[in-house]
Amino acid sequence: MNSLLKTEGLSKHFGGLQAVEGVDLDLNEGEIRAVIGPNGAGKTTLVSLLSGRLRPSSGRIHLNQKDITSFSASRKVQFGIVYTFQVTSLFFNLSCYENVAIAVQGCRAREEGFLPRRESDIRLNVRKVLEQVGIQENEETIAGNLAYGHQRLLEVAMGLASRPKLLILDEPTQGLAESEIKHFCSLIRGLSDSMTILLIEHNMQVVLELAEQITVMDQGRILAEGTPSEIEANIAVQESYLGG
Amino acid sequence: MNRRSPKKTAVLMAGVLLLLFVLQFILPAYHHSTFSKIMVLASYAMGFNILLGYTGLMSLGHAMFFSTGMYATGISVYHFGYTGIPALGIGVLCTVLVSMLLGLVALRTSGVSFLIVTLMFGQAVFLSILYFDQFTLGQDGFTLTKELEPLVLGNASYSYTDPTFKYNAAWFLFALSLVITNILIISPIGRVLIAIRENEERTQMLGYNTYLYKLFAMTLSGALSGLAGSVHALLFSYVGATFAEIHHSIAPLLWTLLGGVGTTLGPLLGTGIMHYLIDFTSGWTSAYLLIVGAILVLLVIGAPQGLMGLVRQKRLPWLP
Repeated sequence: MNSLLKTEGLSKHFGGLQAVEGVDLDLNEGEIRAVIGPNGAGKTTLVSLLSGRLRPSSGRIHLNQKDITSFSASRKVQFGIVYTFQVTSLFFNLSCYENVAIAVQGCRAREEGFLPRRESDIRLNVRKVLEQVGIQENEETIAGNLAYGHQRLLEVAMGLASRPKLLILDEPTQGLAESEIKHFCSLIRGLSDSMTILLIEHNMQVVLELAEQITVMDQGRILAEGTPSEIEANIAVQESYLGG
Repeated sequence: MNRRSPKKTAVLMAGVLLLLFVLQFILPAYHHSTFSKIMVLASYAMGFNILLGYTGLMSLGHAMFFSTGMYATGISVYHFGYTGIPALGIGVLCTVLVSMLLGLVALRTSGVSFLIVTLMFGQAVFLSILYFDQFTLGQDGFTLTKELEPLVLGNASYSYTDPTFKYNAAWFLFALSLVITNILIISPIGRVLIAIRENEERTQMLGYNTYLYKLFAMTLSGALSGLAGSVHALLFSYVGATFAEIHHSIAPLLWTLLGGVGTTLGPLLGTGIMHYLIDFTSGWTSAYLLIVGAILVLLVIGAPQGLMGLVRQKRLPWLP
């Protein structure tokens, strides 16, 4: 398998605090990777570095062998790294349609070099994505009025509409009901044919069900890496995360 | 801004423009000239509204754009003997430059800092006008009545001071601003600007370089405000420092808030109502600002989204 994203010695310090310390991460194309670890392990900081919301203190990030370390967040999106927010971040006063349309339009502009003029093109793509995540009947609903579970799905829809190479999902199932989590898992599994997925998740059931590879973080470092069964067997992990 | 409807929008805007055009044959002389003034000032407010209403950036220095247009045009006529149209072009060109330069600096800030930076630059322009009084004639300013040649179109010649010409020129300016604003809002760029207004960080994370979009909005906003200033100088034959003062930066903010922030017709409605409100109350008492203030406070409590915003909320969700 080809490597999609590779980090070397990636670190981020906030004053004296080492949030992320010397992380070497290697993601293959098409894999679903879960990053787990206790609160404060540096998971969100790590993906913020990958998505460009934060600048690393040291280390490099490569996407398809290209050094993208210093790229701004919007440039990284243009190169295919798309982040969906842990705290739902939508255009709350606009309809679901508009929310996704803004993402679709940005993607079309990147692929074709100019902003699209035909609304019908955009509409087609918006409907496709809304259907994919299963909220097509809420097209006209104002995002702020959606149920929380649907807001999470809209967040994912906006990510998908950007046609990512790497989709980063930051605690996507937090606050979702049991049935919603099921729907969510099948949605994510269906996506992995066309993109690489990096998943930060606390719900171990979701992690074990989805992930092909798991990276365990603690205190800013990678503690262990392996398949779900390897990780389950790893005693060091059990001590720090699963509580022995 | 829920459901876009380009067709309904076009019909409504055409209706408004037609109404304003026909009004010139009906209105008595006093209101005729008042309407000319309102349409020019409403164009200024529409320029302001592009930045506040559709990009979410509140500027307190827009008088600098208005006065840049006004002075660049006025000085071209007064000192260099240009006729109206080239002077107008010079005015717009200067405002585009000024607003783009200001954008490069001020857009590195946001929120309250942006407010303060624009306020400071606005004051700097005002003080420069006073300082370079050999060109600007300081606080008093100058009139263009003698210097301004009539506008020649084909065989016809129009004096800028003729009421009919004034009304139609103001109408043309207003129509141009209205069409530009509506096209902008329906266009893909307008969609991005609204996205920035709603949630800038999210817009960035969808891959948009928001700085460039804000710079574009700032430049267009400044250019429309400056164009209004240029036309104001030509039609009302007066160029003065009072148009660069801080209160003239706050005026479009009040007009826009009253008429409806982020609506294309709000600035016209707000400018018109405010003008007549001051007109009526000042004929009645010297404490008219107290009454105007009280009415504004009531409006902000009752309809914080402004009059057109209220119409959009209650009746016409497609209103741009």
